[in-house]
Amino acid sequence: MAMRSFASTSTLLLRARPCTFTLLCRHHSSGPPPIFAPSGSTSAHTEIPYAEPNLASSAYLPPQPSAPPPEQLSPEATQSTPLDLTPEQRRLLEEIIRVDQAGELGANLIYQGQHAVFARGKDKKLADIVQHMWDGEKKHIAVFDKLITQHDVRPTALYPLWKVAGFALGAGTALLGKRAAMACTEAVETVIGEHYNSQVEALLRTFPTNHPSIPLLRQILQEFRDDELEHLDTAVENESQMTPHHALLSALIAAGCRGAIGVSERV
Amino acid sequence: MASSVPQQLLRLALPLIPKSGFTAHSLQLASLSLPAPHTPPAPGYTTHTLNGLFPSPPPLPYTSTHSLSREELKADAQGSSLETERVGPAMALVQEWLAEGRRDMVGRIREVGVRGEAGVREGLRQRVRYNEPVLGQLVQALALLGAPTTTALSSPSALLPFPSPAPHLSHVARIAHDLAKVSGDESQGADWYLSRARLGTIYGLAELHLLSPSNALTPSERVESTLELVDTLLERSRSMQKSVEGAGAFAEWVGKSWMGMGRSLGL
Ligand SMILES: [Fe+2]
Ligand SMILES: [Fe+2]
Repeated sequence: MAMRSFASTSTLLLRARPCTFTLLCRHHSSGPPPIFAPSGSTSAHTEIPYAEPNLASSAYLPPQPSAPPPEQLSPEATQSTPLDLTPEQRRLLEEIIRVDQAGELGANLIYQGQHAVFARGKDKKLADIVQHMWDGEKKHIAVFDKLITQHDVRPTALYPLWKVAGFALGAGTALLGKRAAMACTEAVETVIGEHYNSQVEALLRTFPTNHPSIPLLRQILQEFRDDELEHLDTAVENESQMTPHHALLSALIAAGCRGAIGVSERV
Repeated sequence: MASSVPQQLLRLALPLIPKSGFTAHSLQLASLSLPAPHTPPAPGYTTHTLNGLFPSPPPLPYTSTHSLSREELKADAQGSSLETERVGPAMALVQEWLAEGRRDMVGRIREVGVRGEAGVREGLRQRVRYNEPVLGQLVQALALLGAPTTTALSSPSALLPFPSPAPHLSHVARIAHDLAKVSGDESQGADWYLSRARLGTIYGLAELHLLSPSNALTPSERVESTLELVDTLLERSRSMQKSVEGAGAFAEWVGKSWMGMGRSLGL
């Protein structure tokens, strides 16, 4: 799994023009597809992937039966929430977890919507690319489901709405064609990547707590940020920027995402 | 842990409630047990001191029906106005008693070590029993919850001709949330809200039943019949929630129950 920093990926994007970019880069995201646990499901009604060793998210995912026993984190880190937070810190923590779960729910539904359309088309490779990104989102939502319970955070009240909106956005852009779907992914993942990045900074700035769940949360946000930027790369590699009215489409979708973020932080 | 004088005072007053009620008088008596150097001379803290420790606006008619004269304003600022009976101290005592009720409920579930539906049932039973020693004063206590804590200047809702339902809703919602949390509820999204709506409705109806005038019964008989009602409600709402066609019936049940409770609260 590539662990690139956000800064280097964005400069790369700024420099690369779409046509040269596609020639230079891999066809789609690297890494083998995840393996899913036989039971359990997430709040997006998706499977739960097994933990990948060495990733922060593995603290919240079931270990593979064949894998060597994972390095044990203290139960405090994964099962309790810090009680010594100021009201300001508490609010920040809750906003981060609430909005991220809502965002991952939306992302799952977007890819589900795109996949529903592409799976019926002739381009099986395209359906696979979308499936691969969707599988990544399943890990994200599975982890946030655990974090919501651990930190006792109220989920967004607009849960059903984000489900419908995400699916409609995914299916709608997929019906416009491959490039529009990829432009949607590009816009969404850019906003989400930036968002994770600012949350990592906010946590560093406002959280001088000793509670081990906070550094763990920060590592998870970093891991997910890098995952999202990989999705972003995949979209650009697949000609997202060659869609007609690319600037308009991505501006619209990005504005929609920012609006949804603003609402989900509070509601 | 060192706690503030108002906090200590509230805790000392809790055991006095069955005899002296949710009143400033209970707090006055409790002040005599404050550790040195805070112990006041007999007969304990004066009304003015208590009003200062637990501030609240002057009674409603006094603020809203006419604007204060210069003399009244001066008297009020000096804390020497004729109208010294304010709700602040009693209301603080009610809030502390409610918080203690939730701690007691949570402690019981942990002590028995049951989770899931069995944990919910144990917690609800404990919370219902917690009311028994103060059954006679309970209506007064819950009515106090609806008294305005703000003046019409800072919140126009203080002018409403009926008590605000928000504090009562939040008292029930907090019980429901603690029950869900401690019994290990991990529901996500809309289910998070549904499970809490169910528990809140059950406790709300149980409380209403407990308070309904039934002169023929002793307090412990009233508690017993309420515990039976809790079991019936748990059973009925669960079977409704489980069946697919029950979803609509469940929503209707929640809605109708709360309309009924609203009417009983005098709304
Ligand atoms: Fe994601
Ligand atoms: Fe993503």
